[in-house]
Amino acid sequence: MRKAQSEMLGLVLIVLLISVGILIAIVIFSKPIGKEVRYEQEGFFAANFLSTLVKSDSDCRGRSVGELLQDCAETHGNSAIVCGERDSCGQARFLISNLLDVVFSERGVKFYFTISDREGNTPDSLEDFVFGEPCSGEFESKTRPLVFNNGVIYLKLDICH
Amino acid sequence: MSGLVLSCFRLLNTMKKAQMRVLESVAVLIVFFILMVIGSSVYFGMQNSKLKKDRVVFEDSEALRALVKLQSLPELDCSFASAHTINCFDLFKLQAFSNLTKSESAQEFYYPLFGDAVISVKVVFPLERNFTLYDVHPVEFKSLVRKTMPVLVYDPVLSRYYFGLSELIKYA
Repeated sequence: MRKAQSEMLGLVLIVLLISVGILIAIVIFSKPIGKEVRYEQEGFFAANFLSTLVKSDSDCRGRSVGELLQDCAETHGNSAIVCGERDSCGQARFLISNLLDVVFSERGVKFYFTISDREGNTPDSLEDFVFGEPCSGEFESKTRPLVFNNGVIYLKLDICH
Repeated sequence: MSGLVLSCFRLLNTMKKAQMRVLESVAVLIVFFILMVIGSSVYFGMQNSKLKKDRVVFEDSEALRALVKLQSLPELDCSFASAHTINCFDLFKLQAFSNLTKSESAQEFYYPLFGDAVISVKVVFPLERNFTLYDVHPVEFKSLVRKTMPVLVYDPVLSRYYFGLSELIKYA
């Protein structure tokens, strides 16, 4: 081979390598459209779950789950509301755990549910209200505030992707 | 075979310079067309897979839209003195509606709204009840999309809200 020919061959090789590189970069960095829509829908689902949960009947003296949580946060676990063998904290915990199981665990959806105050700390009486595992990768998160006499608590639900 | 190759070589040797150039151009054109065919097949293949993905996204969004439409139906919603509660179904309206949509005429009436689909509402807690609100499923279908959404089910007699799940299976 002459010098000019080998240079041409080198040039062709470089062009080929660059094109392959660009193609791989496009494939890696282009985010599929479907994913964004799915994430949005998961967010919508999480928000709906929280608002429905708070308003749902707790089967305890005509109170809703939200009212039980308010009572639990207000009375720091020394609630006067008794629901069979459980107090307001116990009943709310039992219901939230069951509903999360029915809606997420049984469908194989990974989630992480927590309750915190304005500063992001978990009040003592609500320390047991942690369900699921923290998401390791990307997740869709929704928060719902719940006001009570002494302040506000935030119900947070992460749906892992 | 070897005779054919030999005759080809003899032909090439006897070719003039201009003929060689024509042959060269033809070879370049053939390579060009081969590359074009490969390139276009890759491009159309990518477009095809993108279209398939778009179709899945579209069907998914359509299913969710149908579920949201369902929640806003006055036949099912929880309203009191014109005040409408979001994301809520009336327990007694659910019962009446599931009886109503068993008839073919009712299914025809709601077909433009929901198409080929099965819609149900399941009360999860504290009651456990299941209402099939609409059931029109085709004999043959290419794909199906399943969507669920947490909803409140209101009992106007006891004035209580139950936790429920609305589910829609949309066929395409």
